[in-house]
Amino acid sequence: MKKMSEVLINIAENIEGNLKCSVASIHKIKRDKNFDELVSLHRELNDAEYVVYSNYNQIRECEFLDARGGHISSISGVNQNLVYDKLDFVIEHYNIIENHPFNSSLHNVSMDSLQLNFG
Amino acid sequence: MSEIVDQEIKFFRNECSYVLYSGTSITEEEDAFRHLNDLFLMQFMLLNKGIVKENITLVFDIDILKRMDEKTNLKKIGKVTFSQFLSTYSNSIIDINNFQDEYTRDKDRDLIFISSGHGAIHGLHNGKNNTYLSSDYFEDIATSRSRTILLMSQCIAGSFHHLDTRKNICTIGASEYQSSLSLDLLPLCRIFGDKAEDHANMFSFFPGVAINPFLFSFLCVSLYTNDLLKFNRKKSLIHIYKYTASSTYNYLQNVQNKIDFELIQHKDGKTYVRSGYMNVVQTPYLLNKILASNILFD
Repeated sequence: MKKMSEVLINIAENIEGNLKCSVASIHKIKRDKNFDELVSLHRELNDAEYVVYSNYNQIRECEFLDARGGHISSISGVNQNLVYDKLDFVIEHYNIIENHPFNSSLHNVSMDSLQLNFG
Repeated sequence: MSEIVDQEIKFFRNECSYVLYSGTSITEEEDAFRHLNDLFLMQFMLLNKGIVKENITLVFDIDILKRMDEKTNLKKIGKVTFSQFLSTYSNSIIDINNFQDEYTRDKDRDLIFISSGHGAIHGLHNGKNNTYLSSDYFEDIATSRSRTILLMSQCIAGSFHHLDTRKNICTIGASEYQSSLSLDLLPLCRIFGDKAEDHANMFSFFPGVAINPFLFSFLCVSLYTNDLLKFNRKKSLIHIYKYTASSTYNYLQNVQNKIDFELIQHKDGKTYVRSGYMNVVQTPYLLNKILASNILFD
């Protein structure tokens, strides 16, 4: 799969940096009735392909990007229950586990020990 | 201090009541789902530690459930969808607006209350009616007869810093007077090595969801206590806190370091200003260490 920087060639550096640092999340918007409803309220979003949310609890604004990562609009209070398609790129996340106190203690834990169904 | 603190008990036991709380409203779009995903992780943890559903109460904006299946593309955990999981494996779901009217604390049982969502110095935010659940509520429901344990992950959790520990209250906060934040789940899961993607996929409502790093760290320490606390003879809450806090610090410090690195990389030739929030500061705290020292995990 392509890297984010190969697909979103016009992405603003601050948004790209926030995504790589994991303090923002990006989703590919599914073209469905929810998106159509949003576009009916914000015509400029017709070409929006991606939405970026800040993961800071104090920031409520989200950024809409076009297919190449170009910035379209920042909107607060989006409430259209946008549904997402699978991302068509991988994000080159920075490593945020350097010197993590759990180190390699959890590399060999078995997921089989976790229950998924309960009585 | 009552004699309760002298009694050794387990954190995960079916004589306790567990309340999982997020006041984030569906009108807050993405935040509603990521904060509910936090609660799902706590519910998953409780069930995996043997807590029966009858002892688990979920409190959130029930309007989120109406949109849940569409949002998660009917993704399943085990044999059920996430919305089914939340309702099937809990005693009840109380709408955030009805919490204080519908929930009655049994004062003969220990209460473990875990929060996600938004917070401020006023307390836990209810986004559905724009009010706050303040620390007064917990002063009112606390009792000397049993324990009240609060695990707070919202912003400014320090607004619960000053509760009266003589009432057997133990508060653990992800932050004191700082904002809290979530981080993309996949990079957090890199602590699982090759199994990072499998864990991220299992734990998330949908790809790219962000999770509170403090609650995520607490989940990991709780699920894998013996793997992590192998040098501690006694697996007490105070040690669990220690590991949870150090993990949280490490994640946030690495994020801050990367942000600083980016700034340095770009300072010559380009003006590089991040979205205005460049300080990743979060200081976990624990109130009432005496009580915490007698609450065991395994």
